[in-house]
Amino acid sequence: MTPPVALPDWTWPNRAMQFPGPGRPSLGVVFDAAFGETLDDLLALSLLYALDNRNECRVVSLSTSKDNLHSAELLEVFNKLFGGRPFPIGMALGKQRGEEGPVLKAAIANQTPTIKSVLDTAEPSGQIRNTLTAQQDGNAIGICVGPTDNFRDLLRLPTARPVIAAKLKTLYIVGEDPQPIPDWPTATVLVPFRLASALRWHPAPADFANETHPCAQALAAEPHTKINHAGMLAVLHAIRSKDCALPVQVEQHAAIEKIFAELTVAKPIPRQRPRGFGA
Amino acid sequence: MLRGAGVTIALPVLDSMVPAFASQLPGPKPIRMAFVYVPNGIDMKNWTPAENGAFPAELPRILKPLEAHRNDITLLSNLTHNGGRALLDGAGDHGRCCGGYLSGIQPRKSFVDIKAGISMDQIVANQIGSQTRFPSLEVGLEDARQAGDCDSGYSCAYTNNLAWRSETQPLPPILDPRSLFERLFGTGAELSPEAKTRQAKYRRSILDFVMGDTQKLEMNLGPTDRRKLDEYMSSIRSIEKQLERAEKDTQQINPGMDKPYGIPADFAEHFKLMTDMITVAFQADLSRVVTFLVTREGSSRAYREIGIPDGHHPLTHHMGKTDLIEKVTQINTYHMTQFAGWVEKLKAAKEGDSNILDNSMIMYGAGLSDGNRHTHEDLPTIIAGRAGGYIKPGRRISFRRETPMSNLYLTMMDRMGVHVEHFGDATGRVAGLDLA
Repeated sequence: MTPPVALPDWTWPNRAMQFPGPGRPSLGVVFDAAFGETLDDLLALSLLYALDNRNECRVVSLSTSKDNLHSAELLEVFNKLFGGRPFPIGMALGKQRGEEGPVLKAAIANQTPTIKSVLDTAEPSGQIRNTLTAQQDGNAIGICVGPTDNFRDLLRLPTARPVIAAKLKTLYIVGEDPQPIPDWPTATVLVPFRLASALRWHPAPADFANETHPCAQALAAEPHTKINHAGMLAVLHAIRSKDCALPVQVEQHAAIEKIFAELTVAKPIPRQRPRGFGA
Repeated sequence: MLRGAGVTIALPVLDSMVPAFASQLPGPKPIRMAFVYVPNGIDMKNWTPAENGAFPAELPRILKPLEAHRNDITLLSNLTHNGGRALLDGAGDHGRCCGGYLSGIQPRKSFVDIKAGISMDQIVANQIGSQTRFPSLEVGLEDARQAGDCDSGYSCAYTNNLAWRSETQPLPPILDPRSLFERLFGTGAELSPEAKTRQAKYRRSILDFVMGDTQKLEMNLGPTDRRKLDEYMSSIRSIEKQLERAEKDTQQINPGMDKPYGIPADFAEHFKLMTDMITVAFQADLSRVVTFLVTREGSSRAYREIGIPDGHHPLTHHMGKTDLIEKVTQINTYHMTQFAGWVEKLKAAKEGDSNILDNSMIMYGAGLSDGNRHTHEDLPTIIAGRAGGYIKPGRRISFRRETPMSNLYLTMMDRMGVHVEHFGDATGRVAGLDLA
């Protein structure tokens, strides 16, 4: 097993500094994935938004490394479903990764996104950079499920490195055999798929609050699709590290699966959001 | 140059100054660049055409004054100025959006220890300014205060300037038409006190002082050049007359008031005067870089001349009230009407086989999009002109959301012959301006 490159120190005082006072907002999360490629991406985002709905974090940026408009549309659908913030969705172009699988096809069916063309999406690296500029120092994390192109592009922007170093606490990279991004200026946590291979939780479409939930639609279309929970593990470790130490121990499995079951299918709580960019 | 006592007037480019048939040669003509900034955002519903591509048969209401020039303008959508956003600095959108408009950065929140960034017009001026008499011209119509708090802790230097020579040195706009006129065409500083008195007494035209030179030159010109020179001199005389009339108007409107500047009370006349002079400056290649702050950012100017006694800025916080939105739209349209007049003038100014407008990039825009909500994305932006044939106008081009305004500036700098690796928060250059 590849050990994580650098696990963040979640012990006091580091953890305490994350929430030094009542004025500090919860952790901002930049979520990037080849979205729609697998059900894992969708479930990870559902879990993330459930935590957002409980004010345990703020989803401040969504982007896809899959150059398929349906992928960006699906991110927008999630953001609206959970009453997310009004940010543009980032979508990489020219990555030759636009193939549309059955999960994405089923999840986006009958949804009503407002994205109509690539012009309604943003270039991910600029979008992430701008979002980070609006976060307090050390109060954001990045979660990258799949290819890391968008974060690599971000690092290449001339003005981005100091912003990343100041704002981003940790970057999680989830994948089959995830590799750290060379010269990345913050702590990186690598979450290979095999870390989650022992987890067995598998929701049914009926578990979700409504049948048009993208996860419910995808599960209905592909009921026997294999789920890898590495993306969900990364989300849980990033936001609730006390409930999810990495690497996962066998005795934790039941507790983690219980959290997955409770939160991932929880009813979305749409609400009014502050209108400021990156808030 | 035509010279007289204490006066020097630059000449426009005449046919006789260039080799025969030179106008048919593919050689590049100088490209001019100007930024016309209007404050408090725009009523975007009446600004943005419904579709990308060629403009619709009926232009949106605010653009209608440009109807005659629809094939000379390009409307750009989705440009963002991230530095205008709060980004943890709280209130002060007006200060931020103007203070960093041409530099692509976020200005420091202070009214004492100011810090912005060198603006792109000055980067261009530094590189090509030696080719003209004035590296750049900074012009405005309202309030050049440089000190004090003008927006929630942001210095007036941010709201009242567009051009920044360095991070800490703004270049205040010239507001007084006479100051601009004298800067461009001569100050009379070399005259003796007696001569100055005599000039004031008889109110002679500045052209009278170069009469001898003009007559000598005319004898050596062909009929086309003679007509060009005559038109040029006429336009200078016309500006002089406008100035005289404006000064009289000012006296009539404010009897007994000692006005520091001979600024016309009438907004439209003031706008026309300043832009007429910029046109002449372009014609004579006195400068190729201009910033024009129509009114200061956050301006509460009332537009009684079009029946709006309310302040502009308070109106833009309309809270969705239709009567207030209507007034904002009227002000936006009024500004655009003045701009259209300038576009017409630039188009009428012939240059070889084209005109000044064709060889320019005249950008018209605002640092806020929705003035009510203070949004900094999808900034209203128009470019009039073709940049020497590079830009293919007559359409709306949408970029992807969050495209930095700095990307456009890098592209514009390229067209000015100034190649910069990186600028502001640019992520690259914009594509598509040159695609028909």
